[in-house]
Amino acid sequence: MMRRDAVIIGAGPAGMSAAIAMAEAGLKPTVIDENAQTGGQIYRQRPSTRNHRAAPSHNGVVADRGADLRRRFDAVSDRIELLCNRQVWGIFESNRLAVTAPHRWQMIEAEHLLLAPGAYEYVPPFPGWTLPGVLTPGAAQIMTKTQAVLPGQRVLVAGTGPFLLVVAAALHEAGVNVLGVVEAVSRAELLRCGWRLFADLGLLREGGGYLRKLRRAGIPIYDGRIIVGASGDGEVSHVKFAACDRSWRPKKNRSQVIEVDTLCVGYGFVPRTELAQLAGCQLRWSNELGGWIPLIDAGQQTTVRGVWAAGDGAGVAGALVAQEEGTLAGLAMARQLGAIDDDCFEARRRPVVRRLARLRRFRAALDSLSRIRVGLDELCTDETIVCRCEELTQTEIDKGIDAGNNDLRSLKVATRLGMGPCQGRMCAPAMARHLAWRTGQAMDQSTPLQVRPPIVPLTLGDLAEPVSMDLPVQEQMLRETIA
Amino acid sequence: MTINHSEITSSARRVLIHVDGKPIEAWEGQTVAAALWSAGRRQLRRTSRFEQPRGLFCGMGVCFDCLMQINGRPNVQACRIEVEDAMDVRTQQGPGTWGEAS
Amino acid sequence: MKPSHDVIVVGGGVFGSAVAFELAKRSVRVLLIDQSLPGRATSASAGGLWPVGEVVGLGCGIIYHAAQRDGPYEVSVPDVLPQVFRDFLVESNRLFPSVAQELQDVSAVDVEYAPGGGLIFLMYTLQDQAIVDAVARTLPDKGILELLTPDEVFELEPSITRNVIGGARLAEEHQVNPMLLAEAFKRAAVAKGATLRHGTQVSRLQRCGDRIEGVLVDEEFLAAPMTVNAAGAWAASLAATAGIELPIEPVRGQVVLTETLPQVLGTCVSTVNCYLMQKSHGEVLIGSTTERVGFDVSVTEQAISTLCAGAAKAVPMLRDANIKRVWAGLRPGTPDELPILGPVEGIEGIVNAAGGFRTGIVASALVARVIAQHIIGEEPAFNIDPFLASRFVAQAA
Repeated sequence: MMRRDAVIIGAGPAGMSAAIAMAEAGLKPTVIDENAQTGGQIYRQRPSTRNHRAAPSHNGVVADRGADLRRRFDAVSDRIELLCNRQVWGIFESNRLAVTAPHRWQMIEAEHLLLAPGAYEYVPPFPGWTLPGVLTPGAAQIMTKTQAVLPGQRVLVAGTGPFLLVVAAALHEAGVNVLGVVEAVSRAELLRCGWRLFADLGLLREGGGYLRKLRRAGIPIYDGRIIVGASGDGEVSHVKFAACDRSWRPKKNRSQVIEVDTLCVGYGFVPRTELAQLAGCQLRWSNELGGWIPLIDAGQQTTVRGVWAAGDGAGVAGALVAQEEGTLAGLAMARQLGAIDDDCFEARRRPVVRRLARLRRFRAALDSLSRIRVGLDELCTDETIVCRCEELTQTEIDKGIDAGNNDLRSLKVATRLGMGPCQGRMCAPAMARHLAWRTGQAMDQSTPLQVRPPIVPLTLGDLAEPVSMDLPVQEQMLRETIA
Repeated sequence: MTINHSEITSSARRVLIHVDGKPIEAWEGQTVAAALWSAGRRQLRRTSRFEQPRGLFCGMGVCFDCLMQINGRPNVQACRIEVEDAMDVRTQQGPGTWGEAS
Repeated sequence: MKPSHDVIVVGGGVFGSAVAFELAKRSVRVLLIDQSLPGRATSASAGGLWPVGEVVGLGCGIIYHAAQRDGPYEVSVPDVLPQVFRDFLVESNRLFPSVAQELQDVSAVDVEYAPGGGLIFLMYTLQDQAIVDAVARTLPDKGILELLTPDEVFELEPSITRNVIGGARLAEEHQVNPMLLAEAFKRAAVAKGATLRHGTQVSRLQRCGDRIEGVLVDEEFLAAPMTVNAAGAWAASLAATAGIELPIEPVRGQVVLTETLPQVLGTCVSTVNCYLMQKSHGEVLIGSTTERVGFDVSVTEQAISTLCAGAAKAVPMLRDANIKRVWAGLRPGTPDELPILGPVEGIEGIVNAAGGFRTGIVASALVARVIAQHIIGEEPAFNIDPFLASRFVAQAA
């Protein structure tokens, strides 16, 4: 088995920052990522190996930040072992990682392990959400930015959060007819709590930039409105949205229908906690930070010694926070490994903590705006599919709950909720909330579904192969990323 | 609906895949889902229970809704697998069928 | 104060739920207390209804047995369990078609009872053949173990490897969905008037002298003239709270589940490496290890790899199937592999329905019936004396 001092899972903003901090401290961290290149979802690059030249920068500020981070990463890349196109399919005894390689897998034992897996989009069920043509804003962005395909001709972007503006602007620049942005939070509420803090960080400029871009393009922002349903024959063709109150409960008499060919819908992000759960970390519920997140201390260490967490996977707070958290974790691990002494640790840590405190103030305001509200849970009809994989309807789940299954695990066993290939990633966050609301339990009393390996698709044949011990240390991919 | 950025497409190699027997052109490096979307094909499978059409949803390998039958193997995530010359891609009906690649 | 329940059943696995249903059906006021703990055997069970296969050791037991063999050339036969247990399981298995129908009618849950091509043990080597021969000699009714040539194996199940020297088939062995079975029993019990308290931990049995008077839930005392210990792998700890010794220990079994597949297997398959069965939703379930590691429900990469290798050998086309998940359950293991049923010597007010070990699912139908009959004072449909906890005391004496 390979042994490593420090393994970082995820090469997004958090993972990259941690790797930089550790490499600068003289260590040689190992970074594992499932994609061909570093950057994660937010700083995703167009594939460089496929004769595509650099992408036109659709979203300047974010792209610049990504380029800056990548430059710093590349500067120390000779002290980073980067394993791209690899996925961790299991964690055993908290620090032994089962890592895929093409048609085989191997074990890596990590003395220190940083989990920086990021987040995925939250889309609670509503009538028509399974229709082809309904997709997440992130999917639309990947399609536009890395696949060079327009997600549609007449596209409505809906949900909540600043990411909607980013995606709408990118789609517009790529030539899509963006019909509008439907934002559940009302302008009044946004003005009340948001703008001052935006301004505080200069982020007003960034957010305002997107808004101005959309306004110049004549793209309407439908604020204080929520998607109540999508319909179409085989594909989405119509979307209905309605004005909603502060709980996001739609006012049925104030709705409108528009014709679309594509609906991008997402209500923020859900932290990916599979790895933390496999490592045995204790989780806690945070509605503001996207759901269940690993419980961490001030140095980003989880409840399992030697296992650390940073970035959106440890609580959704965006790329800026992720970078600072990654740096913090990297410094803490470097100190634990004896690469830096306490004075050096404190000196490097202080400015990070200061920046983080400022960022978190801003995020707190944003999070309170974007928090998921009860109206979203009331969109389903009895027949709405709530578990996309197993095709379970709201009624079937409610019958399961009413039969006494008042925790997710029992509900899963009783109804097959979350037993499909996505293993509950899509349905569990919304159904956990639904379960709590229906039974009157508090979310912090609930427990997430257990995570079972393998957490990535792996064939039986792959798993049957004897564990391979060797792994090329310097990946070709690394060279290509840097080039 | 491929974006006509000349800087993207001019130098990329073209690949021919077969979708339910019909040839579809794609660019090397594209995922199967993107190639199909680009060709106007957004229904990637039909579900087992209600036989409903499904397409790309999360786009990043999390939701498993874009499952297709590719080179004789069902349940392949079309958003994660890249096109290859002469790839046999089929709309998956329910759990799909095995070993029918041409 | 008169207790509001006649019987408290502790444990909502397949035994507890089934017992609650059979009691509720007989107009007994039942309280079923359930705590969904990780590792519950019912949820990790494969759901094989293999009354003969398990008793003669050609089910799950052969994997453990083969792994324990000293040398590669040693021929030894798994221990064959007593005839009376086999009769019990065969009788319970016979109840399933009607139980499945009854549960569908009462609870509206389909337990996915699936009579298929039986259970077939694959023989790869002469050693496997010797095991089958030895097992066959122990069977009084030779006809039930059908020996198949490689061609016959192929004809029955074309997806099975051609690299076998034969197969041994038990035609009357079927399968069910174990989780839905427990759920159906639970809902049917409620439909018949039982009360369900879910997510509730029983901290101990309330004992007064030679009598169990109920249970303690948190600080609340729930009284009942009769308490049923159906706490599965946790039955011994529950009994211990009242000073009762019960030789039940958790025996971990790891199982692997594939993604939903088109029809691959119509029969249940067992080999010296693993067993396989395709469930009605299309997933192929591959089991199982036998490990005494306490209440640890984690899985190990070695076991996963070994089970997958065994499955790939038996059904080569599975190589290409994605694995959906791997998990582990805790079988309530007993020293003689027989369940522990019925009253406790010298103590009133308690009945055991525990120790299902490898055969809890298939045994559940009859266990529920005889326990319910015993409690209401009817003559049990099957004599439970061989399954009394006191058999271990007698042995020790």
